[in-house]
Amino acid sequence: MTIIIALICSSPSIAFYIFSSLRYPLDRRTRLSFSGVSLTCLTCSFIAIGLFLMAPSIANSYSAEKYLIIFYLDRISYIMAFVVSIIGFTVVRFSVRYMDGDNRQLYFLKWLSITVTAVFWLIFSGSILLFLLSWLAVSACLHKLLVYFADRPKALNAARKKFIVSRIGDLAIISGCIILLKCFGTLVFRDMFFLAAQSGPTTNSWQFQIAMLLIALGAVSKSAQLFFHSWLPESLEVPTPVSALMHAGIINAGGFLIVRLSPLFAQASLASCILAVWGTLTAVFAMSAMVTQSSVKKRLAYSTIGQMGFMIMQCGLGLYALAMLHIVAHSFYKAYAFLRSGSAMQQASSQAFFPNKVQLSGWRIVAIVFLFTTASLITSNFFKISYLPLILVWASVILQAFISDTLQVSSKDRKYALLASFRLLSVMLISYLALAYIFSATLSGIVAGSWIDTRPDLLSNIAVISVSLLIASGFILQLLIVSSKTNKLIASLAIHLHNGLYLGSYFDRACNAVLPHSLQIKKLKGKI
Amino acid sequence: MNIAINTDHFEFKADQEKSYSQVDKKELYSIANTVTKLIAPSWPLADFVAVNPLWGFKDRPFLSTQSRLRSLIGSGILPSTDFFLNHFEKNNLQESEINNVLLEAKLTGNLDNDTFKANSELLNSRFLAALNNSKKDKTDYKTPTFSEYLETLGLVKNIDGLFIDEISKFCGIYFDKGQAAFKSPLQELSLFKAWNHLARTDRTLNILGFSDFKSFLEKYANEYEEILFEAYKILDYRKDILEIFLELNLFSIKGWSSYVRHLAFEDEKTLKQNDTPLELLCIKIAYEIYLIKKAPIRDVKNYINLLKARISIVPNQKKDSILYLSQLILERRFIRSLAKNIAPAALTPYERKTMQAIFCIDVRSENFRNNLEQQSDNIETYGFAGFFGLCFNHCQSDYDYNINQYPALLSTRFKIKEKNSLEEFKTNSLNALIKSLRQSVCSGFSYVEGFGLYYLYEIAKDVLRVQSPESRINTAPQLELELTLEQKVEASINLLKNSGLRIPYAPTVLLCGHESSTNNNPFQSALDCGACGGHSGGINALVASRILNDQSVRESLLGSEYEIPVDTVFVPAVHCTTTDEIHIIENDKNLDNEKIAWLQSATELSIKRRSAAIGLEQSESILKDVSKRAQDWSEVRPEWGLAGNAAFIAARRSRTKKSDLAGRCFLHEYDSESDPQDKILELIMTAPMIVASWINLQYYTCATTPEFFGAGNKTIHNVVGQLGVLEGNSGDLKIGLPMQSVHDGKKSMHEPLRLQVIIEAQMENITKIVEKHDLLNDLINNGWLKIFSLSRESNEMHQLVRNEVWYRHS
Repeated sequence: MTIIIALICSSPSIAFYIFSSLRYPLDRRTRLSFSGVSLTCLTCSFIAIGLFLMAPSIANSYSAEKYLIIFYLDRISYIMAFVVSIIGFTVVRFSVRYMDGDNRQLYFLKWLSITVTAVFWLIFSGSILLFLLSWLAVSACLHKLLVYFADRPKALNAARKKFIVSRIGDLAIISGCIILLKCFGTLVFRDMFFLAAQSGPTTNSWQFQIAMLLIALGAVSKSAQLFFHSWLPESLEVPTPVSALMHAGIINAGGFLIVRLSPLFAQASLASCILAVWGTLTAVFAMSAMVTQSSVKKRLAYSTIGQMGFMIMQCGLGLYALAMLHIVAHSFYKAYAFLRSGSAMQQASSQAFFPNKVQLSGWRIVAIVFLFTTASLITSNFFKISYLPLILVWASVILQAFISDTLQVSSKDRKYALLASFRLLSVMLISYLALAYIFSATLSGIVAGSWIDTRPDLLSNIAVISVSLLIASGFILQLLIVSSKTNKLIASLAIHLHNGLYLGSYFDRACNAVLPHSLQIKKLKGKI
Repeated sequence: MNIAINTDHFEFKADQEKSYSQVDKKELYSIANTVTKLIAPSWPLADFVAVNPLWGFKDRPFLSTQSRLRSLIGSGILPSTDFFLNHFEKNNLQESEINNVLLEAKLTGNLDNDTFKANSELLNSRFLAALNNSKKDKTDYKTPTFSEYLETLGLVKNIDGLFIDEISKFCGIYFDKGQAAFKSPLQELSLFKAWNHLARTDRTLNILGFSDFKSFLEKYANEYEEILFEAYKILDYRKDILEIFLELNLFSIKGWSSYVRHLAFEDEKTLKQNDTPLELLCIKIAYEIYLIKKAPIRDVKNYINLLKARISIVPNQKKDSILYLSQLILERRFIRSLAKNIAPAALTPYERKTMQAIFCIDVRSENFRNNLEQQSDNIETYGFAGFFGLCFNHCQSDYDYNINQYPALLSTRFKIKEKNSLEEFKTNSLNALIKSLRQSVCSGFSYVEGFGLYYLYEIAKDVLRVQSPESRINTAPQLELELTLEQKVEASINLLKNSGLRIPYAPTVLLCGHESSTNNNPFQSALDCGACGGHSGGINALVASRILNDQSVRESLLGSEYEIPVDTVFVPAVHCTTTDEIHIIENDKNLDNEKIAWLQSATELSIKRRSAAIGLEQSESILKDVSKRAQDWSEVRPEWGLAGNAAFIAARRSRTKKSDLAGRCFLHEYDSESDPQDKILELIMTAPMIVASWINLQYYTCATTPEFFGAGNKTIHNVVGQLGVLEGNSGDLKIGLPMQSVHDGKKSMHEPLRLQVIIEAQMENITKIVEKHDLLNDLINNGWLKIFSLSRESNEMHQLVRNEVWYRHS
């Protein structure tokens, strides 16, 4: 069994090595390797679906098997495996024509397939040790892809930044794991979760809390959260399929780590609280920065950061099933958006529609405030408190739709526009609720429940209130940015946001201090 | 210590100071303005048309531009030595060829006399050896900008790139056409003011250690004239040095400069003054002057001396001459083989055909026309500029930009509006809503959660390529033409006359525009009809046929020589150059099965002939393969566009009908007999020929100097501001064609030849027209294209070598 799972996990690379070592002329071998790897990925996705459907029966039959020390098999793994294999399949298929004529296609495919393999291992690893090893492997493989165009200095620069950020994250996780080992005496997920469920003195200890803080830090660094984000918008010097794989697959690793460790995080209030706030901050920052970006891939990069922030916020609030939904939905969305980035012009021509003119008149502001408050008052009574921020989000979505450009048009066809938005919003809301229900139902018992509902205390209140406030202020900030045309403050803010709050530049400066790459400005002493 | 530092840096002595008013402001302004015109305009992606990137050099000889460019960008435009060596290895060089090109060079005077003498000793049998030797000549002649100079001194690193990134970031915001949801208020200001504001706010440079940049801006860069004067002051008040200084900096940001040049170019058509190019140049030199102020005075002085020395140097004369001669050999070889393909003049009486078809002169039409004519003797095809002489603005819907459907050199005459359906309004409003939901703080998350899984379906659709390509022109749309009857009649006569359509017109006259069919390709418009401003030519064909089918127009034409027979119907169509299919826009009832079968088998034959070039195997399913490829979202080489173009032939179709011209020729119908006053000839030589030359030199430069005139690698393209592409994170805007448009990864798909224009007209008629137009004089005398006169009676060709001098081509 162990071997079978290991083989499945490694199948993309195995397929690559088999097909690329065939004795055919280079062209044919290349074509075959691409088809081989993509078909393997597609097969993996079918296996993942099969496993997902059979999951309960599998879980019963092997409860005491030994290989579970190595592998962890549950619906989270299957869902993630499905997502990654589909993204892998798409990206490899896309690269066949996209990378055509590049004389290093096989090299490219090699690292692509090894990266996917490493992610599979990450998904199925059953102990923190294996998890860490694959975590490092993913990072190393990605590095290879990031420097695919090694003659581009900016590609190297971005890869170097990513390298440093990753190592900081690794350091945090490794030290976190060492402490966990001390707390639990084991690094096998199964055993750790079992111990944690008893909620004894181990999880209350300050060592455990610190360990979780460190691991949270690692997750945050991996998922490009605020202060760790600058490498992501700068790593566009790679072929588009690599960006797609990175933004749809690898970037989720941080979120996956938290969901995987949800039984532990459910006990770690402080770490969760920090995650929630950090995620929300990132979300608000990145989405605001996104609206100022004038190039399509930069916009997508900031969108990824923001979406990851939102996902981390959900993790922090203990809504792990919803976080999984977000990971899955975002992966497909972003893979598509990146691979489609060449259509920016065509999309523009159909959307050049109305000039951007959101007007914030007085009554609208009153309406916003009113709706926000009533929505939050009503919902906090009927629903679980952990859902409050999400309800706020939905309230703002509806508001957004109603003040958006579409309805500003003064035309006899306005009612169709209204109807269209009403329909769109209903479909969106219903499909969200349905998906949220499905994910919660299928993952119940697999991920932990929200710590906010089970253990309401000061920290949980802080988390909910600050997240809600941040969301509301983010929404208003966004409205201000989009609506005000002349305000000097907003104009300056937009410039700072466009630069990602200069974290990249600070990073550059820090790097310049140590690396021979430096600008060496100091040699220029002239006075202005 | 402080004092020591101060004296070590750039200070001006009091007696050297001149005040601003003393200097002729206007002169500085005009110097700088002239410099900015060296850069050719570059159109945004939505209206991408091929441009001769050396348009600004057209009044200088080709060869001296070569050496000028070596100094400006470090590379000439002629192909590399290796390219020629390779070529001569495959096709042996003949002694006579060398003598011939020496003679040609002598006659054209493009090689100046001294070089010519020196070279003639070297040449003859030792040509190859000389060519080989020139390979060793690798001296870097690039004159550095000041920031590059400091880099070579090792005082700073990556600083030139940093400044260009800053400018590019600013331009991306300033020129953004709607990529960012946030419309920057800076767009309301003039370019320089906006930059000044942004540069003061933006903290990037400050963080990287340029803490006094802000005070520099306050002190020196409030107006762009100030910066210009400051540069002049620093460069010892020497106008010639200032000029070279400005040129170097202009070319260091050639991408954005080309874009703003295009803005000015459009304004110049309506005689509006537009200083944006100058402002952008001043922005670049502001950064340079900042560095000059910061750098040690010794280095600044050395740099100025370097510029002084570079003014008189003509780099690489020897190497360039031999490369130029090799280029001439290549061109002569091409023209020779082309001449063999031209049929002797035959006098066949004209009978009314079943079908006449007018195609665009685009080289991609040539293959299709050839195959269509093979179907029957009852078909006759014509080549005419694909916009059918109609310059209009097309407004597809209330919510779209107006699209210019005419060549970039002309201006609009009227407007066409399509009636909007309610459906369109609904989709548009839905799209707008989705965009606004996706792009804001909270709704972005909910949108992804609600609809993210739907994209799995979208991905599947794209991976499986289930959609089949569709024409972008709506079938039989409702159009509002803002034209009076007189205008319509005038347009009809122009079209019928200039296209050379022979009377009596056939029952079916196909007016065929063209478009490409590609998916997920930012450079789609580069594959569309250049004569229609980089858009689909279908709408022009439609408008032309509506006018010609108009009963009142026909009544007005009654009795004139352009009388349209009652049974003649003009059928608008669009030729998809990617799949070679013909899409009939309306009046398809007029096409019987026979005609449709002709078109279909022409499609099949055309694809088969192209199959090797696009890497498809000749099989039963080739039609499907091509159409799948056209819809492939990952396809970076959907078709080869105009790669390979080399000649422009204005002649009767009977001269080229039977020959395979390998898709390398622009074919324009021209019969000198029906043009006694040379009016049509003049039109051909001043409009379609110039457009063809633009296209030709666009491909030429992208093939020979891709690193400078090409748009780089498609796989890392990042569309900016919905107007252009960047490579990766930042850097300058990319202009020209991407590598994938001219190169298949192993070999170049475009053999770089200058446009060889063959006109079936008397030499003196051609001479008269050339004399009349300075532009033509410039282009021909300076060697930007070559003109041959083809005799009506025989295959004899004469080349116009310079001012009225013709010599017989052998």
